Amino acid sequence: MDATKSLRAIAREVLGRDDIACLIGYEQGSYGFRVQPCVLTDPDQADRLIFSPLCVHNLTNYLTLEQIGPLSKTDIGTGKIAVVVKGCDSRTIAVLCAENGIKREDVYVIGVHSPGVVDLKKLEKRFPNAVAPAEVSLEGDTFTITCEGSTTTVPRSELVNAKCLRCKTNVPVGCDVMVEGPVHSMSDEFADVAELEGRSLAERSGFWHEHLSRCIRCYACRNTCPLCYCSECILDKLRPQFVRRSVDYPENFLFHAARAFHLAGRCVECGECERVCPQDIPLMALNRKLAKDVKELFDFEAGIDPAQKALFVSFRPEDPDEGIL
Amino acid sequence: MSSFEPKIVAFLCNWCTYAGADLAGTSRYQYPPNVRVIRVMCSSRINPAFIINALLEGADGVLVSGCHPGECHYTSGNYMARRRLVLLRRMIEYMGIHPDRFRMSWVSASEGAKWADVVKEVTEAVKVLGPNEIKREQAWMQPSL
Amino acid sequence: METQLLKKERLKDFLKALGGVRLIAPVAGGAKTQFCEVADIDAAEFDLDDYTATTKKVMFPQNETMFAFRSIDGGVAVEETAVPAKTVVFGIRPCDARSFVTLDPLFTKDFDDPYYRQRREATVLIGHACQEPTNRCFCPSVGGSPSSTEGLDVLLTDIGESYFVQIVTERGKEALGGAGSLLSPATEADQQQKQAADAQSAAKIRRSVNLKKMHEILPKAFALPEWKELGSKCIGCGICTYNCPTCHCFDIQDEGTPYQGRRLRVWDACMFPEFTVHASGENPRHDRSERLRNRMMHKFSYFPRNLGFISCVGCGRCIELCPVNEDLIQILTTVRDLCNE
Repeated sequence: MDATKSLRAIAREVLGRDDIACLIGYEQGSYGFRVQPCVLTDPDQADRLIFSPLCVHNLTNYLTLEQIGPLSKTDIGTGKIAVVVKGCDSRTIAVLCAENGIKREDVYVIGVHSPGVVDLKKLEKRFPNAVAPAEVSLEGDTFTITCEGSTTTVPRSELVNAKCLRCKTNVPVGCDVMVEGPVHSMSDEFADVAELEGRSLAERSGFWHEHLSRCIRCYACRNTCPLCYCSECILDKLRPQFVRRSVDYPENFLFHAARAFHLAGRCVECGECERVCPQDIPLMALNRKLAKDVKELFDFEAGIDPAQKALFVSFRPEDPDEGIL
Repeated sequence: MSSFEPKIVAFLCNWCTYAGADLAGTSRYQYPPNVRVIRVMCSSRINPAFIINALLEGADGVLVSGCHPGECHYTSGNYMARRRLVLLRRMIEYMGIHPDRFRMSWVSASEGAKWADVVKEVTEAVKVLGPNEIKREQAWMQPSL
Repeated sequence: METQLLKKERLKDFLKALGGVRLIAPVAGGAKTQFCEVADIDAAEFDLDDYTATTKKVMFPQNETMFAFRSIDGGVAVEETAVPAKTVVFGIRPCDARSFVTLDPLFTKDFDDPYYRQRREATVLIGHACQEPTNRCFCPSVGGSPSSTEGLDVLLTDIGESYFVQIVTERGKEALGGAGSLLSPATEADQQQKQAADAQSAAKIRRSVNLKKMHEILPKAFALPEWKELGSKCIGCGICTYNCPTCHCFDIQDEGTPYQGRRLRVWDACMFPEFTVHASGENPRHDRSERLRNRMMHKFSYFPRNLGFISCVGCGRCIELCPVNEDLIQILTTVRDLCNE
């Protein structure tokens, strides 16, 4: 049950269809453990595709990223964009369709059951300085890492991405075709958020001060988020200007608080923002707080049900009046 | 801290709370002068970024007040606002800002007395907390003299 | 050049003996090593080899107040920013020090940038030769090395129990004045150990890119349709530019209220979409792949043609930190292949 083989077979077929313009998938990166997104347009290119625990990116970002090179309408003409998604990624498509960010009929969703992806930072710490292409596979509860000529096995729990330990959708939702694989059922009690909630106000203030002061406002978190796609973003707009261009704690606070809030009820917790951050800021601690509260206050989860309406365009007369005078 | 006078920015919906505050004035209800009012047409106009921006601009507290649920002049604006702002308050508390710095209230056009009570309560609570620590720098030059 | 020896265990005394200056070093601790001011030298823990923290901010801070202003009776009072304090940067890698060699002409040649120049004049760079190059490094491809002294005032090389100290400039010699008693002459044996250490470090660099005549190849390759694919992964963030030691684009903003405030210089990035947006709304570099191409051309073609050297020091931060594996080594190698050079 090799996901890579199945994926290549599907891609060959999909890229041969008349109604498909291109396919976004993963391919081998330029060195070591790197994997890169790729845009394929020809069935002959299908063998470039891979699928492994190194495939951490959320490729649905490219559905909404402006000027997607080969994907701009003038280049590809009409035709669907096929995209390879893991469970977490598939939730993005559900949210995008619910809020009319994309039309469901414009995409062809290729789901892949993912048993888990690695925590890249932990991996590179444990197997540093890989230059020759390296590989990682996951079988049951064991990672097998082939790097610089030697093969090592590591228990899944030591290298797996934290988000995979609490994944509720390792079976992708709303797909047109599926690459089957092992399925786990997990629950998420938001223990990480509860821990931070349990600290004092002063401790929390100190926590966010420490982490958000390091932010250099590179906008990688926002650009990599598939759900941040406003053509004019409130965070770097100049007329009117909400967030100043100076980079200091108050502005960084506003940036991250406003961005997290704009994702409330939309964030699918794919964790990309935290992965891409060059300053190692724990952004998921913030996004997950909102996901937890949204579930608690409004019994709402983003992207699980493709038919669900967006959070803030709906209401219940009995919504909580918490703290309201 | 007894000499600290907080600056509180209040976003009031035009149809209910703004009118209610007006009534409080004509009825000569006494209440603390710390509130700076910004009139909006509906509480749902409030983008959560306004709240945080107000704190950054130097407000020690922010108040948003609108029509009672079910009585919104635009039918459902306050329901939307309620969803957003209840969640926002939880989020900023999580990020280290005391929840008393951001309050919401429902004050109708005939509730002048309630308006005065709301302002009193909010002002007193913010006074206890002291000046807001997350503020933008505005002055980089010492005044001469 | 003059060479000396410093016992490693005396390093902190050495730093303290430099006397009365602001010390900046790569400080470990917290989630990530940052290049920042060291308040307490004794308590500080340095992370000398593997930092990706930006170093250019020492001369070219992310926020630089140009002047402050406030309205007064009859007009506006303006206050120039103070001259920066004397600073010593310790523990900077040779690649990062070389970046100032590329930034200096930019900020001082055609136009004197007082903000950069004053910081440059007030700063002494004491480097630490790279011992453990990683898989991101490729400095030899751009004319550097883990033990290069270019751009440095002093270079310390770890040769076991001591540092081999090379005093490169007059400024470096002057700065070390106060620490003279801690230094001892370096012997022939020390010299050989230094050479061995240098060779060992250089051997650890395993990635390279052929840049021969790249400044001519790139303009020829400008219209290649393959740029679209090469740049399609890019998400248009500022990770590469903000972390790059030689990237130097900036924006100028005014901040404050109508009555008081400051004029501020902040980092900008050519990878951002609005970098080239005109007032009319027209954007000559609309696509991310166009902006990526521009960045490659700037560093490997325009710079060599205009100023005589490549604007890249081979530190590899852009390669390591890019979220989508845009790798200039891969890009430039592909371009060369496509042009059959």
